[in-house]
Amino acid sequence: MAEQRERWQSRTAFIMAAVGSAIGLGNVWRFPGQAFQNGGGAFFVPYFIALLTAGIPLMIVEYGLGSRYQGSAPRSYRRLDKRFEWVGWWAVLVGLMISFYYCIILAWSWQFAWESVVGMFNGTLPWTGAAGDSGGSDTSAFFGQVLGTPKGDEPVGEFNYGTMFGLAATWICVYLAIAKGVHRVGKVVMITVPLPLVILLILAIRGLTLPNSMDGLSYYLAPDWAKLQDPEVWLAAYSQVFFSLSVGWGILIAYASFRPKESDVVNNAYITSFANCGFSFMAGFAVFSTLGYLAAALNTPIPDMQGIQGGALAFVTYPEAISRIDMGVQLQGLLALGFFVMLLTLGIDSAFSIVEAVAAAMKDKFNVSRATVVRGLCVGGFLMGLIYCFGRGPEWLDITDGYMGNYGLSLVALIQCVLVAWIIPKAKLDDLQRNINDRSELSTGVMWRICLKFITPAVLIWGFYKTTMKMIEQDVDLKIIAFGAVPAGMVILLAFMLQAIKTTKDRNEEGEFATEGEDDDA
Amino acid sequence: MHRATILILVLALTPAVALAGEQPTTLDRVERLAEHLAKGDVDFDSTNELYKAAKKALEEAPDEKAQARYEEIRPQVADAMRRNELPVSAWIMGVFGATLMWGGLAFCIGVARKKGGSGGKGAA
Repeated sequence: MAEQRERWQSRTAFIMAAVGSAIGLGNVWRFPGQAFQNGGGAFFVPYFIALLTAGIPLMIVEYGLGSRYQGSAPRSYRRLDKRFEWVGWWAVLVGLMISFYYCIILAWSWQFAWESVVGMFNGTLPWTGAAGDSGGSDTSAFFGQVLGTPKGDEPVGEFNYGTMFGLAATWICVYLAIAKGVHRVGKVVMITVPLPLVILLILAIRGLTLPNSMDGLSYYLAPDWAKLQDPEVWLAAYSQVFFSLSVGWGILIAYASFRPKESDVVNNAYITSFANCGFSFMAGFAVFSTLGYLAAALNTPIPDMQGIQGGALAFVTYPEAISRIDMGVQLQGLLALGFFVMLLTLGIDSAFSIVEAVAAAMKDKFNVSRATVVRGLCVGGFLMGLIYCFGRGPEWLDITDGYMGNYGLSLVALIQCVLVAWIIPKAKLDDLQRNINDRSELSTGVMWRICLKFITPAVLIWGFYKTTMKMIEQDVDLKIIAFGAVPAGMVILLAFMLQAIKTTKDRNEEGEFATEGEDDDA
Repeated sequence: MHRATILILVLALTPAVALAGEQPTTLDRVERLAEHLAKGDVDFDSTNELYKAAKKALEEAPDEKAQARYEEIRPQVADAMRRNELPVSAWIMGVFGATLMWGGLAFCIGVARKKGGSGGKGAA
């Protein structure tokens, strides 16, 4: 039976939503650090090549599938080939698992934003204090205090109510953004996409006007060409592209399915990717100019500094740097507040895009109302996130992220890529490419096929192998509570895959649509 | 003949073994860096290689004494490793990055405005 599919109100709304999904916390806390570690400005070369040979081709596939088959990831894969609906389910389930802990990071941002406001009124930011010798010792202590980090061998640590409130606020925002459909999402992203860009510009300008900012910037931009001979640098570039573009989560398929069938695919993929990369590039200016200032204040070489990327940068080093800028505590608090609001707005549209991908899949499959699905997902997500509110939460988050964020997504992206490039009949791939080219302002050609068939899978397999080896080594070396986490993580991923296959089988017998791949509900 | 071969091998390997024994220790690396800094009038370019070698040695073969010595000289290292102005190569890469990423975005938006409007080909 034909159904009326929701639609974005405009192409701009769609692109903004896709850009909002792609641009997330990693653009600020991962890209600049990766560039610094992998050859400075020289890193831009492999990064750009990775973007053109892996990121954009995969994004074109996802946009193309969503647009061609007018369905969420599971439905689109089913219409492509009914044996592979489970791949779509697996992608959205892995994404859902990631959203549980991703929202916790946003909960911390709420907490730090709140502390910034309180600090402005109290006349002192809570993380201001004596200098550490390698950056951020007091902030680090404050971070532990905020999260209630357990002492010694406490098995779970204290429950942190502040994080819980932050988590609740995050899930309420997610609910409000997507409960009313993509029309509402289109309006929300008109705020959550430009706002962090404006704040980032302010932070970059402030950073560049600090003493010694050029010193920091030189570590970000000065190229070390010798590094390009190191295969690890190339792998880092490909990983950065994969993880920052939101490919492999089923999000882009769902978002593209809310566009009319005749919509552009290729140019939208380029616009989304370039906007994402441009933001990352600019984030490096804000981060490294400020790090240059902090390094000089601490009298330490920048390469010696701790917390140059990841959560340590966002919640330890950067706040510490802000608290050292000579401009009065009110302005320091305002700058810190701006920074955490930027993290929140960056993260929230990524978070609700993941939930939207799951909601769209469930709505397509089980024909339930959007409000019911979204309510269930948000309440479930909040409850699942509570386990990360304990003192050991950050450690558990690291472990889950290791499996879901790195492992799970790589595996899902690899399977999707191999499926589309190698397994489905050639005629279907030809049809998909023809369909994409017919409606797009830019065309795909033989290079797209080469990238999909050879380059992207090869890099993903290589990355998968390296990640596995690294995880096994860490598992053996650390002997922490994660001991045995490699098999446990594999079991969880396998369980997700089995659940995905089961979901597919349970409902396929009911025959949701007569034919796959045709214009049954477009 | 057989003995001669062994003799030649021993003679050939002896210098290699002797040289291998002379590999600088972690402390040596740090001391070399310290000596360089003590000369005064040092800059980033002259310090960078010695700094990298010392840091690599500290990571790969940790040594408490060397680490303590490094902590002593860290402020001087920080001074020497500071580049107060952006090197030309950094400017070039900055312009390169901006051109590729922001220029690429501007180009694609231009194509969309020219060819597509709000949809794809032929969309209003």
